Parts: sequence; C-alpha cells; structure tokens
Amino acid sequence: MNGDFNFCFRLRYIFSKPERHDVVAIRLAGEKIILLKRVVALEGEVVEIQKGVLFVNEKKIDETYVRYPSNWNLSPRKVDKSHVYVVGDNRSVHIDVHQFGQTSIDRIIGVPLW
Amino acid sequence: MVKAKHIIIAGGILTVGIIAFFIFLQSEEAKVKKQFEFIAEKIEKAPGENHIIAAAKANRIRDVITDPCKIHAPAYLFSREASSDELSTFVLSKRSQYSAISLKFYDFVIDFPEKDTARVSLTESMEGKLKTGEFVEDIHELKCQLRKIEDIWRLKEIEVVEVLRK
Repeated sequence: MNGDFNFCFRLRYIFSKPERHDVVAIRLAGEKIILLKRVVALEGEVVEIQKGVLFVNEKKIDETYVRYPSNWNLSPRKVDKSHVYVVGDNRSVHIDVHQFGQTSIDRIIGVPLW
Repeated sequence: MVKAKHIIIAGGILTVGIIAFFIFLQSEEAKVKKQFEFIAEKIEKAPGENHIIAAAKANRIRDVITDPCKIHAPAYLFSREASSDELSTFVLSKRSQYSAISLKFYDFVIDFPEKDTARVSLTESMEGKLKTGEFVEDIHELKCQLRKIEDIWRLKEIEVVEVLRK
C-alpha cells in the first residue's frame, strides 16, 4: 500500500489457518496490492481495545510488537465465521485513519518474507 | 471416404465457431474496458480546468450508467440506487474539491453470465490533490455489473469491496 515491494510466502496457510500474532499479507485489490497486518483475534472471539490495550474474550493480550502506545478505544465486537481480526503494529496514528478490522480468511494470501 | 469428408467439414465448422466465439468475447471485453477508460477520462482532472469543461465531463458520465445505478459501499455507509442526474451532480461536486485527479482502472476480470450482462471485477486507483493542498491516494477493489443497452455497455451496479470491517 505504501508502494514498497514485498515477497510473500503463499503456501503458509495451505494446511493451516492464521493464528494470533501472525503477520499476514491481505489482498486489498487485484493480485498485487496487499496490506500487511497482524492477526489479533480469530473467528468467534470478541475483540476490544481499551485505552490502547487489546482484549480478546475479555482477557488482556500482551502485544510486545506494538512500538508506540496508543489511546485507542474500540467497543467489543465478535469476529465472524471464516474471518480474523487484524490490526497494524503502528498505532501512533489516530484510530480513524488506521486501516484495521475483520477480514475474510480467503483474502489472506500468505505471510511476508521480507 | 464420404464419412471422413463429413467429419472434416464438421470439424471445420466447429473450429470456426470456437474462433468466432472467442473473437466475440474479446471484442465485448474490449468494449467493456473501454467504458471504464471513458469513465476514468471524465473523472480525471488537470490543474487549471475551467468550469465549463468540468460540467461537460460530469455530464458525460450519464452516457455510461443506467438510470438508476445501484451503488454499494459499506465502508462508507453508502448503499442505494442513484439516478444518473444525482451521480452526475455527485461527480461534479466531488471533482470540484480537487485541483488535480488521476484515475486508473486495471486488473480486469470480466465474464458474461447472460446475454447483454457483464460482471466485472477490477482495481480502482485514484490519486488526487485537494484544493487545500493535501494529497489523497485511494485503492479499492470494485465489483460491477454492466448491462448492454442500445449497444452501449452501461454500469448498473457498483460495489466497493470492503476488505477490512471495523
């Protein structure tokens, strides 16, 4: 999305599903435009953010990969079937301009290699 | 000998039929893509464009949409049918906020589920400079349905695919 080229391992999820904390490549449009996001919640789970702290099923999740603390607040919401909830690691921006949310597993094309 | 002759003729007819079918499909695909090129051309904006050209361009959008045209953009909480007048006015109003716009459509996947109907999946990439000086970049996957009316492919439905839902 920022114009960089990334190489992606497309076979990663052939026999398994994305897990929490995985960084995944999501097909935004066509075959070449992708977003890199981190999976924070899986199907059926309830995700919530309170003052920048992530909760899944009301349990606090440690996110050591988040570089800059945020004051984001997101009311609880359940992740649909065959979907995962993804958020980027850079949360220094305002919640309204950050692209995150639940996405269909079908749109996840693999994991970034570099 | 006669049998072999008939088989060769039947094979020839079949081959011609298959080639004609693919030529037809390609020409229809080209016509559909051309309509998107037309839309991009009418929405794009060069710096310093005058009001008469802006109005004329927005007005020409009517030529490639059905009346009404259904628009579904869940990420923008917008889903309804709009008349060609409304869409033309909407385009004019939105364009007026920008000093320059560049718009491209690509990654076309086109199929024809029935006669005079085309389903198109494509990528829309827009770059613009607002009059406030701010740059805007936007990429979406679109799913559209077109109907061929009076030999012109017209947009009947436009869906802006929502990839991430908060």
